[in-house]
Amino acid sequence: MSVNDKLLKTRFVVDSGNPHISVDTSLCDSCQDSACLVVCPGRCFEREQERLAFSWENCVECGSCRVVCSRKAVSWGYPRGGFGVCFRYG
Amino acid sequence: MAEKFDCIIVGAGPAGLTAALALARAGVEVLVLERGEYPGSKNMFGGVLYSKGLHELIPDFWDEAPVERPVARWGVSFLDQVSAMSLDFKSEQFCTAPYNAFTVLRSKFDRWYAGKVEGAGAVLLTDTTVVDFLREGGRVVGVQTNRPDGELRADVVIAADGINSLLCRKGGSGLDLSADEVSLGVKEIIALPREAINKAFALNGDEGAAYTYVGSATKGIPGGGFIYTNQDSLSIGVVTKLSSLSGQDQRPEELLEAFKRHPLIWPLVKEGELREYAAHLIPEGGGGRRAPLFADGVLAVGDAAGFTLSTGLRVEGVNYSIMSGLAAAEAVKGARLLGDYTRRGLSAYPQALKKHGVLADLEKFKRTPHFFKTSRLYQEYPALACELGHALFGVEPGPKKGMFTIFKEQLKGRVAWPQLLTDAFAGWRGLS
Ligand SMILES: Cc1cc2nc3c(=O)[nH]c(=O)nc-3n(C[C@H](O)[C@H](O)[C@H](O)COP(=O)(O)OP(=O)(O)OC[C@H]3O[C@@H](n4cnc5c(N)ncnc54)[C@H](O)[C@@H]3O)c2cc1C
Repeated sequence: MSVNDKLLKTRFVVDSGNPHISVDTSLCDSCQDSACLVVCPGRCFEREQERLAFSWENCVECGSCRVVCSRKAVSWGYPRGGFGVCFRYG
Repeated sequence: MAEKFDCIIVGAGPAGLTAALALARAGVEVLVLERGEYPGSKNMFGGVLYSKGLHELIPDFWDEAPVERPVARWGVSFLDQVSAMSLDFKSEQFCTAPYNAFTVLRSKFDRWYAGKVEGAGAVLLTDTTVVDFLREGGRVVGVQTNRPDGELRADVVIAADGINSLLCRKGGSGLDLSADEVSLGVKEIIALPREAINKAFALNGDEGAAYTYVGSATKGIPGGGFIYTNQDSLSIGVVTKLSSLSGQDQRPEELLEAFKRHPLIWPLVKEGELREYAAHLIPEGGGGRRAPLFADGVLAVGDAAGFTLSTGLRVEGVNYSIMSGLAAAEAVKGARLLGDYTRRGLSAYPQALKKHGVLADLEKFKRTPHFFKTSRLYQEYPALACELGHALFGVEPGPKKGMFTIFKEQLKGRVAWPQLLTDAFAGWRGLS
């Protein structure tokens, strides 16, 4: 089962047009370890044609990207109150 | 709503809610702010709730709280790819009051707990993200929320905002946290009929099971796997040290998928249906982490202050959160009597943490995180345990070998004797 299939089961209240993650991708071009690509449990980070691409709609708000980014390229905050992931079991 | 509260608590997890409950019962005007749609909507854990702390606050809480099952059966297994060496303990004593521990789902439990806190007189405001402290003359005097006109003032603020604690990280509060030593947990809720769970885990009626797995569960990456039985679902997940995971080509959800497919695990979960996928961080600092716990007008509790005991075999965070919430409430009550909410007025906090056993336990287990760093624990030792199992229970041609010979043969080439003794000693000191 792919992570996208898994995430279909998790409830999100997406705050359209208001991303809570921003990435200074200019810092990512020369990044060797690219830890964000591996650790993000929502697979929000991908390399597309040598450039880092990220999405935030599937973010489960764990904060791993904030911790592992050695370049401090990830600015990670919380969605506005009431938005974002909403666990029904937890 | 009043312009100013006696105390504002950021975060409706167990730490914040406990502080709120204790303060509201003492007649303090408390406001709890929670960014989720409801308390628990952002929270995930393994998980097992140890009863002791909560039972003291809300006697016989199990009669009304949405607990899943009392944990009767505990297991630890060392896995290689095809086998498992396990220790299994079951006691009926764990299934009578005062229960030792319950399996719990946080989105239900935290919501119930918040209801109790409101019942005691605290005000709860959900859908509200705190974005920063309000500061005046170097001290915290309230919080800034993301709502329009979102400034709220209080004599004192309790930061109960969990592991990421973006609030304390803002700096300037005097609570700046040190570098992150964290693990990442990913978990699935797998729905199964209650009877099927009882059959698969050999449980009667309401009894629950809590199993931990080391070795192949994480493909040798420091961490482990877990399964907890809920009433009609399983909580199954893997926890890995984030700094170790980041150097691998294994993604967390792939590790979890591989763990589910392990021959020991697959029969337990294969009939089930995925209901939810979640992830959350765990502090791994143990007693080694020394974040400043309080400053002028502000205290940190729970995961925000790093108060989690993670010994590898189990994660105990909720009970330390509850105890630190109680300690913070005592410190605030003390400050209130003095009318002094500066660092000096709040200085009873460390003493109260000691009294409630938080600092003592973290101090006692402070070597534990170091012990759990050794890669041998996740690679060589599980493999050794499983090979021993093969040698003990398999019948081979030729004369039978004694236990010690088998052990010596299996150890050879894997771990040197001095190393084994050092690890055994470190394990002993780290865990006992
Ligand atoms: C995989 C995993 C397994 C675990 N297993 C166990 C276990 O079996 N037993 C156990 O006892 N412990 C376990 N733990 C640890 C336990 O979950 C934590 O220690 C505990 O939840 C910490 O409580 P807390 O109240 O400090 O923080 P949290 O429970 O994280 O609560 C923080 C609250 O603050 C809110 N918040 C955060 N920032 C803001 C903001 N800016 N504005 C408004 N609200 C905000 C959040 O939405 C959240 O509700 C586990 C943890 C994980 C991740």
